[in-house]
Formats: sequence, structure tokens, C-alpha cells
Amino acid sequence: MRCSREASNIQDYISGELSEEGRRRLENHLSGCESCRTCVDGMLLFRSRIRDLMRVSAPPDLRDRIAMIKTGSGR
Amino acid sequence: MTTTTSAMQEGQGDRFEVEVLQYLDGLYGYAIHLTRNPEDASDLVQETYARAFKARSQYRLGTNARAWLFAILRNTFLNDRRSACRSPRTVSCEWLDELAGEDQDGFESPRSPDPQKSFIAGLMREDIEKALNELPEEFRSAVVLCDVEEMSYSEISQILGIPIGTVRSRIHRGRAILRKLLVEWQSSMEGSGGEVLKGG
Ligand SMILES: [Zn+2]
Repeated sequence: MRCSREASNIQDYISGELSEEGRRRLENHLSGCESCRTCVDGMLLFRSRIRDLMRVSAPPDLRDRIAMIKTGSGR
Repeated sequence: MTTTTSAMQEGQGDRFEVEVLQYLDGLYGYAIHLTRNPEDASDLVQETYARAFKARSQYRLGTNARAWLFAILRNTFLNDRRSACRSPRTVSCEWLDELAGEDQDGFESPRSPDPQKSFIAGLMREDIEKALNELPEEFRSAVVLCDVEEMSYSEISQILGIPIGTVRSRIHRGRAILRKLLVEWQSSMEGSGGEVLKGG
């Protein structure tokens, strides 16, 4: 089982929000705890998969529409 | 940093535009999550830039343009929605707690990392979209801004206008629910294949 004590730290670690010291402590724990390590690896993979799948580019016509407001508003 | 004479602002015009336009893709992506369709998303982003250009005097170069723009976009969306429907939808917290369960982190570790990997590799964009849409806006926004746009808790707190502690718990719970829904859907599609992921 994953250590429930670390659950919230792991979440913040994934978000890149742990303090320097918190990160050191967690990484120290991870080096000796396989289930937390599996959990972290899974969460990192899950997050990067979501990011890769959900990132989009704005459609070109929207870019044009915004350029129009720009020139239309002032100067 | 308080260079707010009009002469300075003239010179800042181009830099301002460069600075705000670099967030177009991110704003559009976030708008899709809010409006749930590409046309409304484009309209929302256009309106956001119209407001930003109009309010450029309120913005100081060097401060966080991204958070400023995302906040304009979200406020515009919420205001439009409020005027569209009279009674604002209230979030049922019971429903959320039920979904998140006791397992607030939502990451039950399977015995071996392999089922986890194949679960993640099998995720489709449509599934994630559908799962995100199940989340109330407050949770969806927090998760999307953190995990797709890779913003800090502090930026997200500025955009959503809530304390950092609330941002943190929304992200933790939002991720847990997202993961839970996706695991459930995938295992119901694969029959017995997903059992190992459900854990205890
Ligand atoms: Zn552990």
C-alpha cells in the first residue's frame, strides 16, 4: 500500500509545488519505498499524457480576428 | 515600475501586444474547457483580447500577463453564463465527496507498474474531455490550469480568486475524480481487464 502520509506531498510534488526541503524529504522517502515510487511515476505519466492530449493551437482565423481588434482599437 | 505616463504607454504598445499574444493557444485551450465547443471558445478568446486591449493601461509590463489574461477570460465566461441563465448552478459537494471517496489522492498503486502504464497509454482525448466535463467548473479550471497549462498554485489562485490552500485541495480532489472516472470507464470497456487498477 501507498503511504497515506505522503499522499498530499506527492500531489504537490507532481505540481512542482513542494519546497526545496519537502522535495528532498520526499525523494529520500521514494528511494526506499517502492509503492510511493510507483505512485509518483504513474501520476507523472498521467499528467504528461493529459497535457500532451489536451494542448491545442488556436485556429488561424481566431488569430486574424484578434489582429483585427488590435488594429481597430486605437492608434 | 510605475511608468504610467501616456508617452511611456505609447512605446509599450507593441511590447504589450507581443506579451499578451503569446498566450493565445493557452487561452483558447482553456476556453474550450469552459465553453465545451470551439466556436464559443473562439468568441470568448476574442472578447478576452478585446477587453485586454481596452484595459491595457491597467496592466503593467513585467507583471504576470498570463494570470491577468486568464482571469479576464474566466470572468468574461462566468458573467456571460450568469446573464444567460438566471439561477447560478450550485455545486453539489456531496456528489464530489462520494466520487472522490476516502481515497483523496486517487492513485491506488497497482502491484506492478505495467497495468498503470497501459491504462495511461490507452487514454484518449475524448475520454479525458468527457471526464473533465463531469467536474464542476471550479475543479475543472484548477486541474486544467495546473496540469495542462502547468501554472503554479499561486497563479491559479490569482485567476480563480481563491486562496492557495483551496487551489491545492481542488487540484488534489479534481485529479482523484478524473482518474477514478477514467479507470472506471476503461475497465468497463475492457471487461475484466481493468480490475487490477481498481485496487481496494
Ligand atoms: Zn511510501
